[in-house]
Amino acid sequence: MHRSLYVVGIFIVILSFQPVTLAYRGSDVAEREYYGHWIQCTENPILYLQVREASSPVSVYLLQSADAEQALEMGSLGNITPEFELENVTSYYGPIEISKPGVYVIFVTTCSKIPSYYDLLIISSVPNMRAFIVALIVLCLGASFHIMKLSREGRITIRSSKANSTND
Amino acid sequence: MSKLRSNKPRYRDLILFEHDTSFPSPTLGLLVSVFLILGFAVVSTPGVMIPFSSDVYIESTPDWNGTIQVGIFENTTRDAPNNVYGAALFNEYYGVIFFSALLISFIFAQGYSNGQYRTVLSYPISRRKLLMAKISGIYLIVTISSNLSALFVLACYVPSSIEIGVLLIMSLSLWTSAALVVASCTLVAVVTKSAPLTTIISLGMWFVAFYNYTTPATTPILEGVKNLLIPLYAILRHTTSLRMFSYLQSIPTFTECILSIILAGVFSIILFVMSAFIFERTEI
Repeated sequence: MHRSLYVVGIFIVILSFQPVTLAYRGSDVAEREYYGHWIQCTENPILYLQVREASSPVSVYLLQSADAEQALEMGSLGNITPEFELENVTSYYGPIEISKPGVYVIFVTTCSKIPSYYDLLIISSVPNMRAFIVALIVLCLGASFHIMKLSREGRITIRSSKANSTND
Repeated sequence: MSKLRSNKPRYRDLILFEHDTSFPSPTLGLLVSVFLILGFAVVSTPGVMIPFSSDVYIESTPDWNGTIQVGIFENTTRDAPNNVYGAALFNEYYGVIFFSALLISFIFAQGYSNGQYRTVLSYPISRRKLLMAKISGIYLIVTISSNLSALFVLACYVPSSIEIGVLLIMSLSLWTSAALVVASCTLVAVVTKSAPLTTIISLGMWFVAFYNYTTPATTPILEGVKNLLIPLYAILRHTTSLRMFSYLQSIPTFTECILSIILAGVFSIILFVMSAFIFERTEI
């Protein structure tokens, strides 16, 4: 049993270090257009943004789902305070800090008259802490079963050695 | 064998014997790990099967209808956990077909040719108990591993909550679908008494059923047969908005889904009783 738990635990540790692609888009955005990507985050996601050559800079805003609904109703970001924002950037690579796990929308727009072409990739940060904690629990269970088994085997050895000495 | 030496071995002794001989510890762990990988494939490939991420578009034009857009957004958010769990179960079903066929072939059907049944049946064990111990072990391992893997994906990668009723009915449909696969593979094994033949026939039969399901049914009877064979798909089409299940196919009602689950359950029991009947009467 403990061997199986060790194998499963190690597999979950490996999976927890595997990044998950939350969203990807390589396209264009024009002035007064907001192109959003609906993402589910359990951890801080990592954003990779690259504006293509000869394209003007873009702005990026991360909104909570309630704020995104409000933005959709209004048709613009208006007075909404984003969770995270980058204005007029051509490239960015780094983590985005989120306040809590949940559904978020990341909007991309441009202030330029000419459409901007960009590549956007959002991946989850590693390790995924939830999966990592599950892995630790499974490994601890495996270790406890292992210790229990070793202690039982130990007792049998002592008994047999005592029996041998009595016989002698 | 020491577990079987008592005058009348209990069912628990048989299960333990099966565990020791057929599923030594690392094998069991590797099986569970393969199911975990199948489940994880769902969240690691967004856009292929599930709307794990979807697009939201705002353009400040006079004809903008924000209410409709908010409705779409809310639906996407609400359906996301169902879709992730459903897609994970769908992926796990590949594993269920594959491992059920292989395990029944190499743990059950091979017992005829390698002399295991002759040895085991020399102890005071009924054939029915032996069949039950072998098949229930395979069934429980396959279903528990696949269901736990799908739940693992949901709990670790999806922050939104899922309705408990939806979760239960989807899980139940996986268990009945797996029961049908296991029961049919057992019947093939007791009829052919050969591990290679069981593998070929079982895998062929279920993968044909699997791929047929994605094509639209021409008559309502054919649609019913499809739902009966794989109740998991019926419930997935009903509870999720997975695109690959919706194209060109009608969406079954909740009553149809429940009926398909019940019928699949009854059908698998009939198949299993037939297998036990044949197993008790064949020469080993």
